[in-house]
Amino acid sequence: MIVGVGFSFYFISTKMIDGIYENALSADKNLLSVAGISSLTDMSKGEIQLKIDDQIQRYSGILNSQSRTLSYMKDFAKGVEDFHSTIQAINDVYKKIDGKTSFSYLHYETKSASPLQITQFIPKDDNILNLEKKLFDELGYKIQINKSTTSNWYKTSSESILISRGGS
Amino acid sequence: MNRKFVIFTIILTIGLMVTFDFVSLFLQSGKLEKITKSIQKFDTLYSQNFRMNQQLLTYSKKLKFSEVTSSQLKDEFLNSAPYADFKVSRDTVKLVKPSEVDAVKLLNTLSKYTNVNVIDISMKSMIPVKYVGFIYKGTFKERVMLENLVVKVYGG
Repeated sequence: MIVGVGFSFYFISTKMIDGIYENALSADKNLLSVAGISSLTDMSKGEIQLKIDDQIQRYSGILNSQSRTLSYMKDFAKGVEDFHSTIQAINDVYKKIDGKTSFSYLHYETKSASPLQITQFIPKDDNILNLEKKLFDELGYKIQINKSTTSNWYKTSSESILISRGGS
Repeated sequence: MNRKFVIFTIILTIGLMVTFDFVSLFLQSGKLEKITKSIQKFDTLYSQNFRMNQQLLTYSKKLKFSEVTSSQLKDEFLNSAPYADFKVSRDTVKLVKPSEVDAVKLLNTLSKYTNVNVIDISMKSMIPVKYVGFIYKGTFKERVMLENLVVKVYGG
């Protein structure tokens, strides 16, 4: 009789605990079916644990690979966007000072703090540079003038400028 | 003696049963707790995977909005620089040696596609080139040398 009472106590207690956990897990039915667990009662706890551990391992691997792909795609998209916006910006600026600027050198590099380098010629005694600075500034870009030489032949001054993206 | 033995046996049995029940319950709840924790971990990974897929889809759409293949891009480059030699290696198109280029046409090509990342480009002219805007009008006559060009094409 005592043994019977003991087993009944054990049986009822375990069922109660199972019930509490099953209730808590019922919200994750979708998740459990992804792991191949259709019912918590039809499988042993060892089997359930094994199936979930398999999924944890599988999804950890997938996430690592996805994370690398996403990082590559983000960098790539940023590179594309930076080039497009930089070209658009210089196009917008030089359109406004059209006819007063000539170029002899252009260098663009993706992985650089100042990705665009231009050597330009502008008329001497003209206030083009200030206007150019102002226009780039309005677009969120910062230009840095590196050198200035004058040419009597062309009656121009030559400026080597660096354009940083995104302003600063 | 017999009576004492029976009482002792009953107490011992009760003691053993209680110990057995508590040990069993402890082990049982421990197993279930481990399962619950694992499911929570799986839930986190599964949700992260979902969000990651959404982001991958967004970026994929962005990059493929206006796409070109490496070989098509090489052909377009040859329209801007007919005498140039470009090498295609997997997802990279690279200029082999400096060559004369229609600068405006080339910049238009590079600005057209969403899956082309310009890694490095440099152009040089001995005579200052008059700016006519980056919309090609066929009036760009100055001699411009393309010194360096490396681009990466998403999707190859």
